[in-house]
Amino acid sequence: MIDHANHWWSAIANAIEEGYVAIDLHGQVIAWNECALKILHISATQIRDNVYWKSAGIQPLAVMLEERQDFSGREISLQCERGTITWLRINGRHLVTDTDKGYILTFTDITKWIDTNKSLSAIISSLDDIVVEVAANGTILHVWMNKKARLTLPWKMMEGKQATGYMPESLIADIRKLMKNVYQTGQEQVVTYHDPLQQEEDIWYRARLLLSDNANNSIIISLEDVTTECKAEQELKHTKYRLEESQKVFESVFNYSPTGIGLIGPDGKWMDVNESLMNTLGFTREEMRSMDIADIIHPDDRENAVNQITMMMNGEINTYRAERRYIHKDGHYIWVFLAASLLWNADGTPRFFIVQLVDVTELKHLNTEAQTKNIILHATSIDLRQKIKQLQEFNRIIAHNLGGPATALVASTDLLPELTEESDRNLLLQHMKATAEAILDTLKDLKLVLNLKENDGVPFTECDLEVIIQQKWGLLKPLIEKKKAELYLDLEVDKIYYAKAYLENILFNLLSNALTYTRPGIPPEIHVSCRIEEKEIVLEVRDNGMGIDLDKHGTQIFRYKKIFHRGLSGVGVGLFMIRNQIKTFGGNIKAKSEEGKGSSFFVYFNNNREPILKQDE
Amino acid sequence: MNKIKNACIVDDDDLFQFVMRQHFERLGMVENVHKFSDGEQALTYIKSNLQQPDSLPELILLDVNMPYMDGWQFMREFVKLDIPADKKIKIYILSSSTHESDLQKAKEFPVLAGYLVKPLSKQTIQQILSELLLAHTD
Repeated sequence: MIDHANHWWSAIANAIEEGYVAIDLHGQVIAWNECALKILHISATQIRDNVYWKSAGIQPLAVMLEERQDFSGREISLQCERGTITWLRINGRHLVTDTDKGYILTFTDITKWIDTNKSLSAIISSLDDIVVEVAANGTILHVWMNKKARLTLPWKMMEGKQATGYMPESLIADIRKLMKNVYQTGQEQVVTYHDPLQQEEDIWYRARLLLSDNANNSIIISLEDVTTECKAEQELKHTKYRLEESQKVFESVFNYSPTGIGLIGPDGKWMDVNESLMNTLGFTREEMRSMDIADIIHPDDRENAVNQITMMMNGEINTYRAERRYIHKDGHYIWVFLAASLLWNADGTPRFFIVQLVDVTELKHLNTEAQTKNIILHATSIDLRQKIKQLQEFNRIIAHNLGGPATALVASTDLLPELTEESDRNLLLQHMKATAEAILDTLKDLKLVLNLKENDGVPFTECDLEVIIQQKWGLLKPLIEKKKAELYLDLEVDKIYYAKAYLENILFNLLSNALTYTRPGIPPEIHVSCRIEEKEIVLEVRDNGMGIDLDKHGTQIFRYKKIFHRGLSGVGVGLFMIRNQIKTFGGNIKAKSEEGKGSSFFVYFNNNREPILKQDE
Repeated sequence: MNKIKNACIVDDDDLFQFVMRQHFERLGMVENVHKFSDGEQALTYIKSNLQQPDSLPELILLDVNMPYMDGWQFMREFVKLDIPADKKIKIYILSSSTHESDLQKAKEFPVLAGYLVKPLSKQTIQQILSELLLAHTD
């Protein structure tokens, strides 16, 4: 019966996957199974041999057999002769029979399980995460972590302790709530904290809580350092916000600016325009979009515009400002003041131009008006200065040609009673009469000049120069024949718009002078030419006569009753008179002369003055 | 010396010349009164008598406004002349104007003895001549 039972027992023992080895009271191995031999890599002979139990590799197990303690789940490692390590989970129990006291060790090979666990640890540590296993009561069961973690807590020491002992109040409450949620819902809970330990560090951690598959109902918390991610996200948010803000500002400016704003593509087409620009140019948005920028620029301004746009596209300038003429839908051109800039794509190609413009047509007009007024003012001031000069000359004439003789008359009336001789008295009276007549002559001349001033508005007509010259030349025929004079004409300009009677007088005086002040024995050659010099019509009468020393008489040549040539019939009124005539119409007369060679008189008609004066009125 | 030897009147106004000569004759203080109707004539006379100091005038009454060569042009030429050192010639400018510009011009010639405004009364002439005589007597 016993044998029979033993027979079965042996079969059962070998079927059990856990290995065992039992000893009697004396320490002698009395039982084992096949599985034990397999786990320990030994034979049935070896396990009964005391020598084996004294070998180094088996000592941890040998010690346990010697100590005979009751225990469960102890994990030990055995070093085999081949160098491999075998992990065992071992239980120890006393065996008590009626006659004997034995001891048994049962063990399983957990090498594979330990290796897997180690690999897991290594994997978790290779992540930047801290993984904590927490029991339902808050005890920290296990911590896996990367040494580089910024969340500096004494993690290893925390195993087996309450997690709450290491956290600030607010975080404790939070984590508890999250754990509760995990238990209630079974769902993963995710939350991100900035500076979770309140150490005033700019760090972010994301905590994921999920229920472990363990039977002990623990929660796995993974803590991930998401500082970089969060910072980037924050930066992105800021950038996005700023972008949105600046877009809003631009939109607002674009839509409500009183300045015309337009976006122009690199191809020159209008992409978009605002209300103000449409109002300024009169086109609708659709019409503008169908047009090219070149279409609306005045032809004369295009070259300039193209140059500036090219410079900007080449990156030589960032912006430019300009005044240009743009066409209005009505067909007229308006002056705009514009500022343009260019926006670039990230790849360095031009994106679009922003052009801002205001209508300055009105300003331009005002400017032109002001300039015109200035010209008129300038002309008027020259006019006034001339009038002052003429007045000064009048004053001089009155003093010398009226005052002088008049005082002589007064002085002679004082003298008259003293003269006793009849002949003296007659002589004095003759002189007095001549003086009085001279005064009347001067008055007559002055009246002529004054009439000239009053006749400022004398009608201008187109005067044929050659006709007038020939007519005046004809009047001087006796003198011409006597002196064998010759006339030469060179009339580049042959018609002058002028007061005809005055032009006749001017020509007569100049021709008459040229025929009068000749050199004896030299036939007079008189050249009359008319041309344009610096936009002004100039008439020149040149002779080969005796000439005047202008260094000596230069300032007096056109003065009243100035005579320079002794023994000739001049009375010094002609040049004075024609100069007054010429100046009345804003012109001028100048002389060039060389004694003994001849004289030239130049009349400047100031043909540009007339329209200005008309505007003035 | 109880008479001034030579006096010149330079003026183109015949009436003025006549009145002056009458006054000079009547005052009897000048031996010879020379009459010139413009500056050029007077200058020619003085130039031709530089070697005969006795013929040079002690007094010149010089009008400003004259043909050919006016009073100022005469003065510009006159100051260049080499007048004998012991010969004193007093020149008075005569003018019918009291223009600032004429008075200014007169200041350009320190040799001028004075600026007289027409008409000249007999008394003025007498005073000028008396002063001249007094100076020559000394």
